[in-house]
Amino acid sequence: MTERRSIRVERLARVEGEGALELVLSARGVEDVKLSIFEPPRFFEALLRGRRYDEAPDITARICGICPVAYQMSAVQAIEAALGVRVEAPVRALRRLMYCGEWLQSHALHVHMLHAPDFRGVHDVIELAAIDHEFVERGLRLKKAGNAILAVLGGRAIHPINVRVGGFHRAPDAAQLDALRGPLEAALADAIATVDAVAGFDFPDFDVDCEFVALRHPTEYPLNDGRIVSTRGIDVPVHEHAAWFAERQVPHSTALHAAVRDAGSYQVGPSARFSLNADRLTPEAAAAARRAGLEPPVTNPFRSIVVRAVEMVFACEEALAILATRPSPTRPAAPVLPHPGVGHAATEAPRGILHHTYAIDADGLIRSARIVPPTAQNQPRIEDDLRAFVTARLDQPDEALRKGCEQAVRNYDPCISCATHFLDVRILRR
Amino acid sequence: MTSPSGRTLVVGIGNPWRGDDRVGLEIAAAMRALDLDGVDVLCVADDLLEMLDVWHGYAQVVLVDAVKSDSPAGTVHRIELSAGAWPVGVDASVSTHAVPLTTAIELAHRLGRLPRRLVLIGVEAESITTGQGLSPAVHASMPTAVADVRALCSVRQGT
Repeated sequence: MTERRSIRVERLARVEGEGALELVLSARGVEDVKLSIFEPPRFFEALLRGRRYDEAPDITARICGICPVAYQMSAVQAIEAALGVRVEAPVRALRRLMYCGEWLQSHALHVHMLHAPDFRGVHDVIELAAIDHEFVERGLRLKKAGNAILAVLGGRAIHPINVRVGGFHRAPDAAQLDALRGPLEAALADAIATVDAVAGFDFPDFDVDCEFVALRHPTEYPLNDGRIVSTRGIDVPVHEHAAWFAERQVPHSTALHAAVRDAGSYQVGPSARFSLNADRLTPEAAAAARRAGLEPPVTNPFRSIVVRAVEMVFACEEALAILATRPSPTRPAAPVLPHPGVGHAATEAPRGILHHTYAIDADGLIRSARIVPPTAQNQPRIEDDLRAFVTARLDQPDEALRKGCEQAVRNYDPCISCATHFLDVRILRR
Repeated sequence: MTSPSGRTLVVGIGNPWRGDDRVGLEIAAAMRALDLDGVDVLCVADDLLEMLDVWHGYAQVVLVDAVKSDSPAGTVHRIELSAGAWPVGVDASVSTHAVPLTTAIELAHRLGRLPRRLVLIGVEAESITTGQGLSPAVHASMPTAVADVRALCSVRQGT
């Protein structure tokens, strides 16, 4: 190769939000990789300042239409930590059930509609439906099962409105919970079938050596809480997050770039969770992972689609286990008395750790808010993946490289709207 | 309502916080207020894939949404979609819906999930920037759009 060339994707399809990708290649190799996020920033942290503490869950839920539950859960738990509120066990169980619903919705959409077309060599889900009707129908059924959970716990399937600091505005009754069991049993069988299907995809020969970061709980696969742990030895409580992870601005992105302090990029999300918590999976999910040949750590980012499918099996089993206990809070929400305080929380959004910090004053007003979404954390990691992926494939024509790069970005199911903070791919050859 | 068979479903689509994109929701609300026999009304704000389930079994589905073509703002379009095809020049994905209406309908067509008759009443949008109000031109077109939806509903559907 003698000429400098560029590969560009002006607007990446099948990701949430707006962004672009540009790679500059020359005889020396990959000169530059930029994942540009040009969706305008939305200043949520600033607009939270001066609002009442109990408004944060509903305001932050609006950051994302795909993972509003994650925003609500991190928000309420951070504020509860600031105000010393303890929620009773059935409320925690119902929150966990609700989170299972969101994982199902989000993973079903990404696995079946957004990422699978890459592996099946088709342009989009419409073409995929023409060659594999049942696969797409199964995705719709799994998503519907997730919607059903959200409708019961959240009051509606999208942008739930039932979560509050201390618990819920209204707890579901036993009949509503019992009605979820049939659809979830069917969803469990569907999720297992999807693991088996995606495990048979062809994965590009590509492995990376990166630091995985996820929550870890003493007994559970992580969802609502745990310590922040990594495959390189980090093991800290969530309130130490800022001491271990730094965010910085880069000119080509409206999203902040995150890094482990004094180290570098890291990965959050399904592959990180599985790599650090495979021993916490529920039985059917663990069995499906074994059949799929998944072992921690998951060093091939393209296999994240298999991990997402395994996590759908987990979400169904976990939801069914919670439903079997018929959680019935003595009151829907614990009482809350505002007083000055600072609280931190991290939960596992479908795309990875979502960290919130709030400082609250004596009047219950939010003095400061800090939100670290998963895609902002993964963005430098995605660039590192792309650099390594292209370096090993410099002899490939631009079109093949462009497709491979887009697929590599989708390994992370980036939610640009959340991160705005995404996608066009450009490859410049010089 | 026992079975939707033979009934008409009116689906208002839109984002209530994005200017003219809310017109579909406004027309659906007007249809709901009319409480017509044999007509169900539903609003969808975000997840258009949900439609593939909710319209199951209906003889006729009327979608109401903001659209963008080269027509003047407030123009009311009536587009037959039962063949799963879109006319050239009409972009019904101008809104902020996560999955565009075009994708949802094409997918329904591929999966054999289209109702027997699917019609879009599309109101030409002027602005879908952030804000709650309809533009004057779109607001003025409401009675025509509601009358068009109502006329479709009055045609008795076979079971």
